[in-house]
Amino acid sequence: MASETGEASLGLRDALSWVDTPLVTVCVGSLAVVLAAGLVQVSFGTFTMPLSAVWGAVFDPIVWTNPQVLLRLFLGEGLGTEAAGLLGLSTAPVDLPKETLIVWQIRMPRVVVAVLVGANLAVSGAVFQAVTRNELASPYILGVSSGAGLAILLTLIVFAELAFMLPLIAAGGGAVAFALVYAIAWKGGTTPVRLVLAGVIVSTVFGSLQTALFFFADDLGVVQTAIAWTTGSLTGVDWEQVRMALPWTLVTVPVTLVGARQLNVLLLGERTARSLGMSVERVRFALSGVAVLAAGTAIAVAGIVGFVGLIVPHMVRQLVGSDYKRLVVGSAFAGPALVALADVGARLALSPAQLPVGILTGLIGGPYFLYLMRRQGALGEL
Amino acid sequence: MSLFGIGAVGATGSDHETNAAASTASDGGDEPPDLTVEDVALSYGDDDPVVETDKLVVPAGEVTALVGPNGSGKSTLLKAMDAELNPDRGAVRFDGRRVDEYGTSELATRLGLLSQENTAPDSTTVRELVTYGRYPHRGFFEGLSETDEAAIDRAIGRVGIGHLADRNVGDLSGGQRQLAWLAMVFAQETDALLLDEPTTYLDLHHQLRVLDAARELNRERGVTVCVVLHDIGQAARFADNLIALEDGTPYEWGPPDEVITPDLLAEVFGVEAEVGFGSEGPTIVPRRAIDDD
Repeated sequence: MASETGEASLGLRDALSWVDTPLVTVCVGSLAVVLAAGLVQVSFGTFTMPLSAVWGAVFDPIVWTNPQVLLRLFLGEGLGTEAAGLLGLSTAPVDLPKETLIVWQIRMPRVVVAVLVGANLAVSGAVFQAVTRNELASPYILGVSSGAGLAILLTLIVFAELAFMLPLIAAGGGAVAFALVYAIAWKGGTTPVRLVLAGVIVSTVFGSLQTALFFFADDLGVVQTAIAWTTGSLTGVDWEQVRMALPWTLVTVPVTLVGARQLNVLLLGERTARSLGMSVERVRFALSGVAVLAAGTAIAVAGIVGFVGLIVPHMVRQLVGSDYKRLVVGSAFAGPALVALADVGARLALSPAQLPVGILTGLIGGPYFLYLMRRQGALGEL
Repeated sequence: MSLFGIGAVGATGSDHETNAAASTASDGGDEPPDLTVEDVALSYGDDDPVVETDKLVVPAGEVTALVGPNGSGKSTLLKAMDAELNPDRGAVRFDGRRVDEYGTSELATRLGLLSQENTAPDSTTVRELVTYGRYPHRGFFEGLSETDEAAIDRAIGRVGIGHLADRNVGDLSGGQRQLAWLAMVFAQETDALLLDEPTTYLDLHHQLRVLDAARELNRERGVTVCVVLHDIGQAARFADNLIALEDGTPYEWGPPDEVITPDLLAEVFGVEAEVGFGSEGPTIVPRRAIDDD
């Protein structure tokens, strides 16, 4: 058992000892899907160009050899230039060919937002499933999405001047809805079925309130935006949305990964977690907060994309097991793959008309939910 | 088992390790802690007390069994000992200090609990499960130290499930699973252990495996054990002390041969029985159930 190797290499090997072949397979497979879906996605648009031109633009060396270009896209013109300066990189303006400009400026953000939305929803679902010890939990099922959606609609229609704080507002709405669901389901403890039912109740009421808000909208344009929100759509997203979601994603995913050990212990049940010295309520509250923030971030930029938070952790669990370190990492990769793929479907299914991506995830998610129900007689306690 | 002990000493040799190794070898110098219950009333919510008792002692370094019929308050009393339930009055003290004054994680490093119903995700391996026993000993960002690894190996060895270490919990029989959970609590390496009906629903073989492992831990490391048992005959053979509860009050407590009498079996358990005295404590031969009026 005693090892002859140096402490440092032993430490590194121990730190990564949880990475196993199924997890690597999930991550590599997901990356491949995202890459393929991304290439397809950027090939379509109002400006028609041959595939070779599109792919040439994606891999345009001007973009990849001038880091300031990417920094400006991800961080915005001013901040990107500043960051490039701080990092000692060139801040010179770069002239991009027309095709490259179209692909990178207009089409690429949709893929990037799909990735961010998928990662946030999947991680959020994974956390909710551990916190409620319920295989069926997800931001959508638990009413978090409807709460966040309502908060967003209220902001868009009534308090338009607060739009820059959308992720936080969405998270706030989601938190209120989650608290309501928990309160309704609580009866000296909760069960998976009661939580799902409470989620249905809260979603129904909040859904009605959302529809009611349409009547207060001044013009049809707002109503149409609102409908796109409530179904979840990536049509017309811009780098602006990337800049909105990216910072929050850089908080939610790493924090969840750090919390993985707590999630594992939570899964052993409240009494055991407590006897192992965990402050169960505090941990549950903090991690739920992270999950609500993740869901809020996704909803703020793409609206309510349903079922991703339910399906992805479940599929990943089948492949890598229920250890939360592996599950969180796997979900953070597989979530983007699912959303990017569904978004390609949303664009191509009724081409040239575009569907909201939420319709596609719903079409995949509904039957998957049915399969879960059939496979397990009793609805799944984790 | 001693093999793992040696492995631990050969490592970096922090205080904790040396203590653990010393106590493994010769029961160290530290006195094991006792648990005392003083004039306590326990209730759920605003209801009438479920358990009311004067003084009770779970003696240090010994095995004590809580026995009594269903609903007599055994598990409730155990919850008070683990600070899960705050008494309406009175106090439960662990090692002289009130249990509710300990921090949650501080208590978890000294007092372990195996709860009655245990669930873990099916794809958890036995070794992963046992690793969770080290949770209270690890900092928020800390990985597994060699001390942790050694404790995990010791626990697995002590319970005798080395051959199951890489199996998934979901593939085990109920008895094997219970042994895995026991190993998890052992890996916590606490000074005292509370076991809530650890043998219920197990076949005889695994019942004895669980109890023998607990007994061995008590003998070798002087761990104070308090266990809720359903079977009074088993409790009589296994424990150094019995606490017999009837409707939430202790009927009698002390060594088995003093506690177990035909009167106790009639009045507490509602059973007419003969009590014999074997070399390993009293033996009970139940004859018939006494009708309630």
